[in-house]
Amino acid sequence: MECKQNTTLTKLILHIILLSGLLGASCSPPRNFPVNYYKENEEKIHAINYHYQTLYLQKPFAAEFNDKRFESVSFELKTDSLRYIFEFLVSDPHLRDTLYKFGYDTTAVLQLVKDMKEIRCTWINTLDYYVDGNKRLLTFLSIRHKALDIPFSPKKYFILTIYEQPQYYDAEGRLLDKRNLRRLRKVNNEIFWRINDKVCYTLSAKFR
Amino acid sequence: MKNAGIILAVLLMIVHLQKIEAQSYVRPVLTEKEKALNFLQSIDPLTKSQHWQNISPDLFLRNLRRNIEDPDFLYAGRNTNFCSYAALGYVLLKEDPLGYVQFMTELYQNGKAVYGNTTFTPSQGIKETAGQIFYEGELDRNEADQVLFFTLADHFKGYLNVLNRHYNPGDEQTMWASTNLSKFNRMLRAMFKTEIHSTGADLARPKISDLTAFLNDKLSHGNVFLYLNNTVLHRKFHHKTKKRIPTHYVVLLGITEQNNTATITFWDAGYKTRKTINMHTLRWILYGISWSVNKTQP
Repeated sequence: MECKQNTTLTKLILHIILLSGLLGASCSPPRNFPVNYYKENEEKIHAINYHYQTLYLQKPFAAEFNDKRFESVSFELKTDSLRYIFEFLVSDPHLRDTLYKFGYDTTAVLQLVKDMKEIRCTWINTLDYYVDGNKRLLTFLSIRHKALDIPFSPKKYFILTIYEQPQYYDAEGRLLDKRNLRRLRKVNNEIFWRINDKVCYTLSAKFR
Repeated sequence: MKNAGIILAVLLMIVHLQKIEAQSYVRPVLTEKEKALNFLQSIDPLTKSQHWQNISPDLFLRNLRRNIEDPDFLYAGRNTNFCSYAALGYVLLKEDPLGYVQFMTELYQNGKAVYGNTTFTPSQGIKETAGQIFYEGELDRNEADQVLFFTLADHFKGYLNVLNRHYNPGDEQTMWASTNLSKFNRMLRAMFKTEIHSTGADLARPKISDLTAFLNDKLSHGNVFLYLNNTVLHRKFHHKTKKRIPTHYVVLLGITEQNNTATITFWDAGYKTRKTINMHTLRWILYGISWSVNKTQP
């Protein structure tokens, strides 16, 4: 009787261990997701970056999809004196009117929004960073992807930073501040990893 | 008749000469901002401080000048807990630009300075770190702002700082730099020459029946600071559950209400921002209101 009980207990423990292992494995994002995602969407990502930079130079702005269906969009429109924040449904005609009123190329901005939705890009912005005291700009893209939407774990965003100049990395592929310094360059308090010379990624709990 | 004409001509000449003499004594009245810029001109070039080893005098002066010319650009960094000090600094720059530059210069040159009745003696740790902030956007090169934020965070302490009172590198992002409402009010009282009033608390929202009218009334008498939960104004994630605690300070510049929707204009993080927000949401995110009462105004 005692022996049977022991066998049942051992089985139960084994099941718990197996279940924990399975849960643990399912709670972490796929290891090769960043590289695979980038490869699959490389052309679109760079097209978005190019169009966004062109539009940003005309009139600065940032855009955010604030729902998981990618139907509602929030814009930060930056003028000389004020930053205006508006939220619209993508289908709302007021979105076009507002962009027009603030002097944006409405067709191009709306196309950008459509392209962002296609690759599940939830946030696009330009950030400044400094090299030897000189200001440089990078494009900051946050991707909200189903592959990273894991139950019982904090939401993860796949963040891409795109630079104009090639960057320096250490042997592990981590973004460095400079070639000669061994200091890691952080963006939004996160360490970034190399995809190629000008593109890095990280997984973050914050989209900006 | 001829003599009368000569006398009149002489009198007119005398009056004219007196006018010219009087004009030569009249000097244009300088604004506080111009006085501050003139002061900066008078101390340029600044010698390198022995107290703040990593602060370049040129960058320090350039930062002070830029702050006086356009206080809107004051920036607390992307990930620091310096928002309360920035909100205070923004209003300080507008209310007392000359006092600000004199205080900052004294602080830079002597390693300590007095503002109002408060003597600031920054600790060695922050003196070594100021000038070495990285990856915080424009704050990286705004060395005077680093000196101000570190000095205020080092000097003023509240209950949130109890467990971390002494600065260690990186603490600008930790509880060392955080500010509860009563500490914020103490800072305002120390730095401003006006009366400071406040309502609300760290964990309880203020109960005000007509919030828009209340805020507009306070704006008409002085500066208004809001202590709020920033997960709505500056969302960083799309979680449905949001922490019910205040996390951010902004300077309110204006508010209007229509159909239960408020349009608020506020300053934070280097920008004036205008955003439309549901009144219910505004009440939900708002935990504290502090305001100054300018005695010279009605």
